[in-house]
This record gives sequence, C-alpha cells and structure tokens, in this order.
Amino acid sequence: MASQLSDNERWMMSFYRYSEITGALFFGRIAALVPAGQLQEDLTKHFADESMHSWYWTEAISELGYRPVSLRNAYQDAYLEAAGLPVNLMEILAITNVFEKRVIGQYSRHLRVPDLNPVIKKTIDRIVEDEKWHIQWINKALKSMADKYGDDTINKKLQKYKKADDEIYGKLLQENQERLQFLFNNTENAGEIRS
Amino acid sequence: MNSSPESTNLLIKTLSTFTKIPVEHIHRDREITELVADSFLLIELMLNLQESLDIALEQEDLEQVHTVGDLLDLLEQRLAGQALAV
Repeated sequence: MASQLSDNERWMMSFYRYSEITGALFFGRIAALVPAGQLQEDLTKHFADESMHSWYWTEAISELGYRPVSLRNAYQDAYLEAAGLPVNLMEILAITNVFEKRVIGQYSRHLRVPDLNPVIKKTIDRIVEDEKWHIQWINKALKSMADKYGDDTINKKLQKYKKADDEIYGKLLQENQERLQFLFNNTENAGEIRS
Repeated sequence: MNSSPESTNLLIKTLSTFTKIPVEHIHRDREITELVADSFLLIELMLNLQESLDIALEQEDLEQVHTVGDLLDLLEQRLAGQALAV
C-alpha cells in the first residue's frame, strides 16, 4: 500500500527501527551470557521483542511503500558516552529501565500527532504493549537485586542514568529540531522541543 | 601492586578469548580499550570476569582503570577483600 509519508516521518520510523535493532543485538548478547534462570528467560524474551519491533517498523515502512533510511547511530549509542559503561547486570537493567521509559514517552508523544497515519499508530500500539512488560520485569529484577547492591545504590544509579538520558534526549531534539518538529506541532506537545 | 597468579591467568585468558589476541601479546601496560575496542564486548568481559571470580564491580570502580595492569590490580584488590571478609 503506497501512502503519503513525509521525509521526516520516514526518518523517524527508520530511527525507531534502527534503535530496536540495536536493542535486540545488545540484549541478545547479554541473554547469551547470563546463567540459566528467570533473568535469562526474561532477557531472552526482551531480546526477541526488540527483534520483532524492528521487524514491525520494517514491515510498516514497506507497507507504506517506502524503504528504511540508512542510519549509523542509534539512541543507545549516546548512552555509553553520557552515562558511562555499565559493568554489572544491575547497572545494565537500571539503564534499560530509564531507556524503556523514554521509549514509551516517545511513542506516546508520537501517538498524539494529529492525523497520524494508521499504519504508524497500529505499529506503535503493538510495540507499547511489550514495552510495558519490559518495564515491569526490569523493575522486578532490580528489586530482587536489592540484597546484593542495596536499594540506595540502585536508586542512585537510576537517578544518574535518568539525568544522562535527559541530556541525550535534549541533544537529539536540538540536533534534529527541523526533522522532529512534526512531533510537536500540536497543542499538547507544543513547547516540549525547547525543554 | 603485584597481582596473584590466579587473577592474572584468568584475566589474560579471558581477554585472549574475548579479543582473539594471543595470550603472549597481552601485557600489563596495554590499554584495555586498545584490546577491546567494542563497548559491548567490554561489558561482556566485565560480566564474565565477575561471574568467574565471584566478585562484584560497579561502574565507578572502572573510572581509574585504563590498562590491563590497572584491571588486574582492581581484581586483586577485590579478591583480597573477599578473602578478608570470609
């Protein structure tokens, strides 16, 4: 089905696709490394979800009669620079918790775009359901790690990564102001691009 | 600080496995990032070392770690700390 899609929308869909691929590759490697148990099971499901999400975006772009834009940098790439390298599973999950919340926030913002293409809406609705589960299992896993690392340490890490994520997102908005303007062209989102 | 043969051997062997660089080419003064250029690989290496040595590391522990020697010293410190705690 060919449909009118702006260059900016196509870029955004390709950006989502590439970020989902990056997430899948990362979680696949972590899932392959952790010992058998609940954590391994959840990480593997998470990896499979991210992988499917990248397919949903590929499928959606194709359904609209386009091809993905070639990209080289994912949102997560900026994390290591801004937040530092996570070196244990708690830190990996704390970063992921913050990232997943950002993903849900971003997709929710996209859903508020007026006259949103139904293919994009369907794809986001499908993905957001999985993202909710991602946050649930990660919160549960982080709670189970409190004995080992302490609640205080985990909370400090979450705060640290949240601060880094705010910086990364702010930078993304600044660097792609024109491209992302369509996400903020409604009353509800107005002004947010400057925040 | 001189590292124990246990942690030295394990780290060198693990680094060699991860980087495919022969053991004889991994020395104390080599930069970790020169050996492990891929950040994801570095994360995997750290998870693997903690699992193998049964120690816990945090992000902040690695702020002063630049070379293989620095990492060996850190691991040695952690192993010694655990031995004292037992």
